Amino acid sequence: MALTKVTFSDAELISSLMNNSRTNPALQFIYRNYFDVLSRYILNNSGSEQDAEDIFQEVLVAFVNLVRAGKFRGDSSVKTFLFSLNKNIWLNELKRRGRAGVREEKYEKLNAQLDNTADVTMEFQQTKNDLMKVIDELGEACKKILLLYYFENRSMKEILTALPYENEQVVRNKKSKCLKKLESTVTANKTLHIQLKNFLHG
Amino acid sequence: MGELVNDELLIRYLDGDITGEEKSAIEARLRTDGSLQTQLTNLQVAAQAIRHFGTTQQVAFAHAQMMHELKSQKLKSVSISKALRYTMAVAASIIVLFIGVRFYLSAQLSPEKIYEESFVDFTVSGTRGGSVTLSEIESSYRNKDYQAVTGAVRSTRLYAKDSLLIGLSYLHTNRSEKAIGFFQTLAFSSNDFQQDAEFYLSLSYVKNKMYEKAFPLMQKIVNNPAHLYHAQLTDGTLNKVKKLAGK
Repeated sequence: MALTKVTFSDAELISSLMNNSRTNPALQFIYRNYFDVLSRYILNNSGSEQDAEDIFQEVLVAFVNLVRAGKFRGDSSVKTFLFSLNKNIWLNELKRRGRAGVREEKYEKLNAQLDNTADVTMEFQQTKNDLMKVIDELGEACKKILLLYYFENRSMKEILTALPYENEQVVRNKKSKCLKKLESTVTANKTLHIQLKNFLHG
Repeated sequence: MGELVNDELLIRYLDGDITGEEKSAIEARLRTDGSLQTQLTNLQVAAQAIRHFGTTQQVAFAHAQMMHELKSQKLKSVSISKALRYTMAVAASIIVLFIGVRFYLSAQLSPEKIYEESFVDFTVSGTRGGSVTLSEIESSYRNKDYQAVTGAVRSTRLYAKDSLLIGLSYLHTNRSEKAIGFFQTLAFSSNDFQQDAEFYLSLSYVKNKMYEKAFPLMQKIVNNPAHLYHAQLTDGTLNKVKKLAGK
């Protein structure tokens, strides 16, 4: 299948990601334009091709989350910001593996001072497995309803057409119960809770 | 407000789905009630967890899509460049081989080689030219006494056959320039040994590196199946002479 190749300016990219509109073409644009340069950094710094892929995926998750949380202020270009995230996340990964050299650690400390938002995101990546586990514990019905409401910003009316519920009030009640359930499991995981809280208020 | 009511209200507050009066009441309580603030923060964190999860899924989808596209492109370019490299390597090998063969053949090609490949000695007999007994020149030639044959040049009367044998003796003793004179006389006049002279003259020219003169004579012999020496020369011989001429 031929994919439509759309181009984005930095502002258009941010706007698309922020409003969750044309998100997939925006992400595709980022892959086409920045994957090579970012993965080259990983490959040149003791990483494998698989590392390059995994780190790029983490970079994108971090970037989109930061944009949606209003933490990307556009002080630098998207490319520079992505590159900075890529370095931070990779150096953190090397550190986790116990392979970061003195030079990298020095660089990391310096960079962390310069870019706190990247640092917060970087820490969050370490608890991504916990997040997946917590969401899985919700069950499919809760996962769907919460994603539609909090991630896709769908109205109760729209959710009613997408899911088999009797009326909007039933949907509303179900959503509240699901959120409460999620709240209790996330709160029970202290590391994950702190990371998300720091992300929100950090 | 009971805890459940608080939760419901807080969720509605979180969602922005609350009336002005209720909103003001909650905000007033949030300013003073620490546990309510914590409850709200926990709900915000839960909502953020689902957003992070959504983003992770969204990126994972794009990742799978794009890795497929990027890897296919890479594979395509690698296989194209592989095929191109293979084709170029084959082409280069062919060119090198061709040049090598040409060089080898060219190195192998020499006037002496053509001469040796084509030369066939004249058989002295009394059947042509009218004579039944061998003359002194003929006897000397048969005995390969080429010095004696060429020594007869001063003889006042030379028959066509004698001239041919003298020319051949010069050829045998590597004095082709002298042979040429004798063969020319015979080749360009009507006599019994004209065709012999044409053949040996062409070889004398080759030996003397006069290819532009050798070629038309040889061509005449090749093109005439009735020529006495037609079997001695081929198109291959002509090509070789042409190549030597172009060297």
